[in-house]
Amino acid sequence: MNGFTYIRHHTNLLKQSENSVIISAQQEKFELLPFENSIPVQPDVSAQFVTLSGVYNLSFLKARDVHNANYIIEEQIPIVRRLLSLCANKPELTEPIVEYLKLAGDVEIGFGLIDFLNELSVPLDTGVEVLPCLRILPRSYKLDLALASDITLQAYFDLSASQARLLGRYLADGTIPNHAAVMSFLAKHHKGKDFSASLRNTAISARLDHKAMVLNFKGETFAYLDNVLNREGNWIKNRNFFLWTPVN
Amino acid sequence: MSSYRKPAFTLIELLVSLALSGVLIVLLNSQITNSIFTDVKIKKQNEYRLEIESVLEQLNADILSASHQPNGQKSIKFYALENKVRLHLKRFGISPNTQQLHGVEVIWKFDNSGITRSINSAEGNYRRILSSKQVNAEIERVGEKVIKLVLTNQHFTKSKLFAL
Repeated sequence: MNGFTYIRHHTNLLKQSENSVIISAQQEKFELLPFENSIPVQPDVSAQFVTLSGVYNLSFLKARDVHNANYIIEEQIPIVRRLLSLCANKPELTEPIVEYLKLAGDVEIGFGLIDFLNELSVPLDTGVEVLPCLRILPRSYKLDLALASDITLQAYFDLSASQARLLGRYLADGTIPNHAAVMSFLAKHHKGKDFSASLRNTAISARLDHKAMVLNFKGETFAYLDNVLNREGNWIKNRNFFLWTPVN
Repeated sequence: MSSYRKPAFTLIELLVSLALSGVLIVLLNSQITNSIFTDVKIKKQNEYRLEIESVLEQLNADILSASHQPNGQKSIKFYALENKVRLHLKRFGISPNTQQLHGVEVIWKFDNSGITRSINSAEGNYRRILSSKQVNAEIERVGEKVIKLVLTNQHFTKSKLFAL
């Protein structure tokens, strides 16, 4: 009798393990989709591509001095505050973000914004609001102005909404093709202010180096797959989140 | 005068058979008692073994869904001291109240008082005793991204590798 009960429990546990293996295999299949640039073949599963190269990188906030010690770049703090105000109306998150980055080591591949906000115990609904405006990657991932949204341009250069829209249009149609042209545009709106330091974190290339794929099942989001272009020019996994996994 | 005697066992035969039956009953009784005792013991051991297997599966699920740190590694810290192990990890969980995804801190304890799993979140703190039996636990890093947890009690040793 006991033997039978033990075998039954053990079989149930094995079934659980088998289910988790099936789920892992399914997740691996989904994780391959962004690399294959393909759309899901499963019924009811749809994909949405998101370009992230034009999103502000929180690593711009910090740098290392000659003694290899972390320090915060003060000029970047107002940019983050403006982004948090415009995107999620949460400017008060700036201080905890800065404090965390001051103490944390270098940011490496494999750390997502949702992880970061979880480290700060920020509720995920706030996290979802700031996702289109902030990302966190190694500092070498620059802000591509040609792919940036009007809100990002507005916050990054402290412009009005209409000025940011105009700058965005000029960047998109090639009227502003380089940093020098950006500087002259900004000089008209911010007399006497030097943007050369801020522009070092930016690029105008429209070359994608960071993208995400959002997967939905019957219209409900279940995964966020985040990939980056590495130094060798290959797309690699940055950080994937699965809320749940639909299994055939 | 003729006498008629019915065939029957003699007194000696009866006494011998009674004595043999008595010996058999005593032997069987002790066997049955031993068997029941062993059965209960095996049942408890099996239940405990299953309990440990479920606990390890649950710990694995926690580790799989742990959030990451800036260095790209999972947000897991572990402490080991004199056969006691404590694991702290941060993960995402779905709130039973709001059905919203939120971050939680999970603390696993393996020590003399058994195995407990505590959850600390903005919504409140919960503690659940998963096993109240004494367990000796050891944890070690066996690779850059693999840890090994070994649980030992008086009956068996169970170990599991966890990918970080």
